[in-house]
Amino acid sequence: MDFETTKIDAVTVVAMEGNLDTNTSVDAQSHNNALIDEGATKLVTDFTKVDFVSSAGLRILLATAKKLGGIGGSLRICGLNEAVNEVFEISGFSTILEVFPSRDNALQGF
Amino acid sequence: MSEKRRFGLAARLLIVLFGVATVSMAVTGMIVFSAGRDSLKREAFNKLRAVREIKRHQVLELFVTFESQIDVFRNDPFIQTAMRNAAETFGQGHAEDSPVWRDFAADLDPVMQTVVDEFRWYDVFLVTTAGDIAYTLVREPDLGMNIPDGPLADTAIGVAFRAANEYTVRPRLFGSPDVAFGDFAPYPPSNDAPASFLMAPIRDGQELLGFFAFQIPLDEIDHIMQERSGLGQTGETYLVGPDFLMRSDSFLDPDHRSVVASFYGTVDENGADTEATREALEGRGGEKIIADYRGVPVLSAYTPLELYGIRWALMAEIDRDEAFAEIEATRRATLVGFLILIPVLLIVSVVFARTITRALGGLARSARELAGHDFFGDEKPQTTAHLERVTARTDEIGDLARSFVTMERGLVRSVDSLKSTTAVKERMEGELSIARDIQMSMLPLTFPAFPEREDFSVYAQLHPAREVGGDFYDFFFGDDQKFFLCVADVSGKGVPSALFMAVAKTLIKSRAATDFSPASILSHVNTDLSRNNDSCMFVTIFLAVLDVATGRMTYTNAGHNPPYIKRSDGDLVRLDNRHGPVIGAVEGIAYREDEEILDPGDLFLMFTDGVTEAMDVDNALYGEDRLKNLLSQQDFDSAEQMVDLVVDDVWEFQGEAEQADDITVLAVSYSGASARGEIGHLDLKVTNRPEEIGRVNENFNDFAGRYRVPESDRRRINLIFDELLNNIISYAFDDDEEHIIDVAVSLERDRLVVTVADDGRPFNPFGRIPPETDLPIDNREIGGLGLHLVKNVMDEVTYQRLGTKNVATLIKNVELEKTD
Repeated sequence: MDFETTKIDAVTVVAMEGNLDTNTSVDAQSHNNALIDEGATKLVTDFTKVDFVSSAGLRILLATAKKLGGIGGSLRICGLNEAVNEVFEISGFSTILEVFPSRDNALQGF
Repeated sequence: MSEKRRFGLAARLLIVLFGVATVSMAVTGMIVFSAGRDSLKREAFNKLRAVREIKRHQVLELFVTFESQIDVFRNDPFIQTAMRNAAETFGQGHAEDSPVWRDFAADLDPVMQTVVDEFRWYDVFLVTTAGDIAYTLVREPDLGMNIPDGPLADTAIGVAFRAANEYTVRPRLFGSPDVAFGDFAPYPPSNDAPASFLMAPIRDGQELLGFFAFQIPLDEIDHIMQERSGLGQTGETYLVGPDFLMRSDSFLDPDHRSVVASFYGTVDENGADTEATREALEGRGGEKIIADYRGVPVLSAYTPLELYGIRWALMAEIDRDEAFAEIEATRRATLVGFLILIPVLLIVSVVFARTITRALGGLARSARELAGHDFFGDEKPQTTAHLERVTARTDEIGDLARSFVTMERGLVRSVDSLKSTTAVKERMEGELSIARDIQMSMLPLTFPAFPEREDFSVYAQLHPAREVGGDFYDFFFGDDQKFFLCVADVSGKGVPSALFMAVAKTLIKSRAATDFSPASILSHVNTDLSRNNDSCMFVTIFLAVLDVATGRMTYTNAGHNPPYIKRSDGDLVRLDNRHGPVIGAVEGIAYREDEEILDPGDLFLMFTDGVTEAMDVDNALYGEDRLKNLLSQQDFDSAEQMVDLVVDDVWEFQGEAEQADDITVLAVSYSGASARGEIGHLDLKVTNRPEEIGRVNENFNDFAGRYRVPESDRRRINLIFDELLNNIISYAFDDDEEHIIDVAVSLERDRLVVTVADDGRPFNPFGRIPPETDLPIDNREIGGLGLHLVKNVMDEVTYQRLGTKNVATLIKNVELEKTD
């Protein structure tokens, strides 16, 4: 899994590339945590280049969202492909997490 | 006690008996009474009438007597001479007080006295033709008076004189031609006392000398009328004149209703103006009950009495009460009798009714006791002890009682015998039901058994006979490709057979886990079963192992009915090979096996002898031939249809007859692996290391790209591989060994079938999370979520435990992208 981190104003955008599965979700979590520790409060994860997300991935997203929520921040997710969107829908995460169609949407008003 | 029931039999009987008796008595009494009264009435009137007639006759006779007296008198020359003299004397002007007259009278008196005494006349008058009373015996003022001229003109004598004169000219037509009658009327010379006269001319040849008259003696009339024989205490006869005054003295009311009294008094007080007297005076005789002059109801027999043109009424009357006295007596007697009888009847009725109802009541009580008796307890019923007297009766009740006693004894006997039979039967039924439970619990009964499998289908029916005969069938996967089929028939019936069957089945299945040779399996099973087989039970078995991938079937027949293969082209093949004797009989037998190939479209049928040895009502056997015919002539679409048709045909044959033995039919239809036209196939064997997941997905992605599986579907499959394989790697293996996980992907025209098989502990990823898990909560939650995703992302997911393997089959319908 590759990460491309960008900062736009107060928002940190993380673009992931690859699969957010059992193996890679550990790395993802570490990466996010590091960002939060460095002071990021507004995080946008861009899944445009993510093939699929497994339950393990969902778990770390939830964890990240909670962590951010705890410090008064929030997590936004965007760029879901059909398969990933389906997973979000089935699991109900699309209602738990803030999901946006594109990065621009996610950034708007953040 | 039921005898006190409000409107029970006793009361009813009583009412009926008593009512009937009373009513019939009353009716009889009334009839008798009425008839008696009528008869008495008739008789009373008869009597009265008779008396009346007698009296009438007597009165008329009296006047006849008077007339003959008159004739005697006036024809006597002495009297004629006397008349002459009287006329002469008086004509010469010698009045009644002159000496001439006195002399004349003195000569006459003795004679006249004699006459009067003899005839009992009151007085005798000699009357001149001029109407002078020339002589009377009793010297009263009327002597010397001239009748037509004077106060006597309107008296009875006046009437008589006029009439007598009349008759000299014009004699009467009826009766005496010249006797004249003067009805009672007041007679001044006698102080207006009523007097009545008869007058007749005295003639000498043609010469009329004069008349004589005499006063009719009332006594004579009374003598007749007051003679009261036949008139009881209150009866009387009397005469009444046309003026409703008495003409005879009443016996009952002598003071007021004498002749004298009535002429001095009034009709009301002293006369007799009644309905009867009116009728009689109108000329009608008759008999009636009327109110007499006293107002008293009397029986009255009345008749008119014609006297010289005067009509009197002759009445014969008797008090009604006296006439009907007899009746009254009878009535009273009847009433008294009635009053005595009623209580007697009542008592008799009560007693009689009670006798019956006591007997019946006793019987009813016995019946009730019998009906309520608990025959399934140990006590004998005691209902007939008190019926001794009832059973001794000779009538229908006695019959009933005796029958009842007999019936009770019979019933007790029957129940006892039934109890013992039932107990035996229950034991037997219990045993049979246990046997059936054992049998059915060991059979795979869920159909369709492998619904997701397209390469074959299996279907079976087992119908146990009433006495369970120990058939069984079984089918299961030995591993993911080896499918075991088994049909067997245990000897004997009942629980022992069922147990034996259970043991045999278990032995086969346990060996089949590792041994895929039916010959080998049965050899071992036979040894095990024969070793401890004291009861010498045995079982016939047909065991086959079908490789579902290749269609190759290995089979062993141990003493069982040979099965049939129905080829896809319609040929029927019987697998006749036998590979050894029945199982469980002799130890140490080495069973053989043979091989047969099932081609796609073939059907394979196994059955037990319950089919071929099924019997109809005539004890004819179904037979191998009939089965063979059915199988060869019929085309079958499926295993299920084949089994159904065979079973239905057996039922049809059997008809009303009872099923003799268990009937088992099992069929397999084989379609082969490429039923749905596989386009592509991917087989991978991976080890249980997390890194392997990536390899699987890589391989799959290549495969998917090659066959143009849509991206989203590819990703979905990636996801499920990730989740499933992770799950297996993490949780399926208790040990740290390396395990192989089989992954197969089959791409068909419109779907992807993914199969993941591992040999870890039994776990159904799509079922409930096993309760014995020791996963930490977090992990368990995630595991659940992941599997939840898998379930929902794919179109079909199934899990099976085949042999030692968990096999998950996942299907996703796909629409392959068109090639350019």
